[in-house]
Amino acid sequence: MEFNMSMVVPASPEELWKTLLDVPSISSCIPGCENVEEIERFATYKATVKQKIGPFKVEVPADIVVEAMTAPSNVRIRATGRDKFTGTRLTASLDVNVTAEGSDSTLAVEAKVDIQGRLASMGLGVIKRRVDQNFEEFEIKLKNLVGAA
Amino acid sequence: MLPLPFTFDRPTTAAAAIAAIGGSDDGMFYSGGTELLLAMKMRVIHTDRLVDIKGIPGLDRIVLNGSNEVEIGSRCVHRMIAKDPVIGEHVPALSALCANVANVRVRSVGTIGGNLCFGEPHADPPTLLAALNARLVLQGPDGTRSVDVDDFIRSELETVREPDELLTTIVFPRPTGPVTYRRFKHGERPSVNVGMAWSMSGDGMIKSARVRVGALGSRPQPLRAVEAALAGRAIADVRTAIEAVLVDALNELEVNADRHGGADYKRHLAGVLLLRNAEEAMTYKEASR
Ligand SMILES: Cc1cc2nc3c(=O)[nH]c(=O)nc-3n(C[C@H](O)[C@H](O)[C@H](O)COP(=O)(O)OP(=O)(O)OC[C@H]3O[C@@H](n4cnc5c(N)ncnc54)[C@H](O)[C@@H]3O)c2cc1C
Repeated sequence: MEFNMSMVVPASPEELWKTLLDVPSISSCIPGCENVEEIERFATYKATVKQKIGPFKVEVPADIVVEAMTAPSNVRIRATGRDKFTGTRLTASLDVNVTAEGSDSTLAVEAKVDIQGRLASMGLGVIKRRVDQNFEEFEIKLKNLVGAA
Repeated sequence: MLPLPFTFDRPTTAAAAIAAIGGSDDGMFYSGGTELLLAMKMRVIHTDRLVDIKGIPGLDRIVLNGSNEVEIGSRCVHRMIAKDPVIGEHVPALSALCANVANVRVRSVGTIGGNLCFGEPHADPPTLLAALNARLVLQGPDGTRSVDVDDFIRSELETVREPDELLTTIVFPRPTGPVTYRRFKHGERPSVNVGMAWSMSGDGMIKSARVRVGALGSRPQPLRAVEAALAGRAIADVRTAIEAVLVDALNELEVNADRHGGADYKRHLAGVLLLRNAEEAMTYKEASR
């Protein structure tokens, strides 16, 4: 599954970049993301992602690798993990780009999500819409975070 | 795959069942188990406690009550509703719906309450029940409340029911006009369905209409423009009245493209089913009631 989103954030690219690299605050914007642990700064992290759709619950302890970083405009991240309950393997690759938009910035995220195992049988449509909702929530939280700074 | 371990209760009263869920972390009611057990074996649903509600008496009644309303107990299985004489007399469209849900094994053990509480968007009963203006009676630790079917399903697989609220009864006014239901499916579950209920004002005129389209978005949706166009209309003018507003009304629906088809295709199907329902409803004879 592929996702493309972009949003205009009321901050300069440098300010937005700083926010993106502030791992504890940026991860607080990601719905269901918990227990973020830094293994090596700007290189490897661990986190748990929890999601609930009705009675369906997913809990994925994930390994996160920063694959490439070009300050202050691009970062590529790859997260992999297995759902604790079903063993479903999830891989997410994120390509994050920051560009200037007048005095503001555009944050564009290209995401590829790969699901292999039982969860895929839940219907990719449901999962896709959940990812879209999560991005909407992320956008609101990120804008609040930048606005409060 | 085996489900993760859980404890199992078989209470004999609604109050005990509700208390058992309340006293657990993420306990769940277990009715026919046709959705639940499958999902537990796949481990996409896990619970620390299953509370079997099959031992609670009184949840599988169907009656016409003193207020001229049809009451269906949540534990009624599809097969029972399909064969019930009260439903057959007053809402034959619901008998036909339940006679054709799923397969014979699911119809024999799967319940109407379980269908509603699961909140699966590709379902039949919620659409027709919403057209019938049904309300659901939920019993919780602090008493009962009733929720319109229209407001019950919040989104895909999510309802407004609290985990320790037991759905006991489905209630709707006895229909006073034609009730029609159609669905289209190419797989097991409906791709699109349309339910419609008219109340009549005696002289071949429609007093009011309720129209719901299901399986397209996360829950049944009303076609308000069609409802407005039908209200106060003579039966003979129904087709023209619907056609005048249909395209705009269909365009307002929230439609998820999925393996059942693309959005435009499914919108089109909804229109076809609606017009066929209308044709059927037009043959309704007041005198036969
Ligand atoms: C192969 C297959 C094909 C199907 N095809 C169709 C179809 O074409 N159209 C259609 O509409 N449906 C279809 N279904 C769904 C079917 O209608 C439901 O599986 C069935 O009605 C669920 O009832 P149940 O008693 O088995 O629920 P369960 O599996 O026991 O429970 C389902 C959920 O509801 C909760 N629950 C159950 N009863 C209550 C209650 N009284 N109060 C509170 N919570 C409750 C449970 O905790 C659980 O979360 C199909 C299902 C299968 C397996």
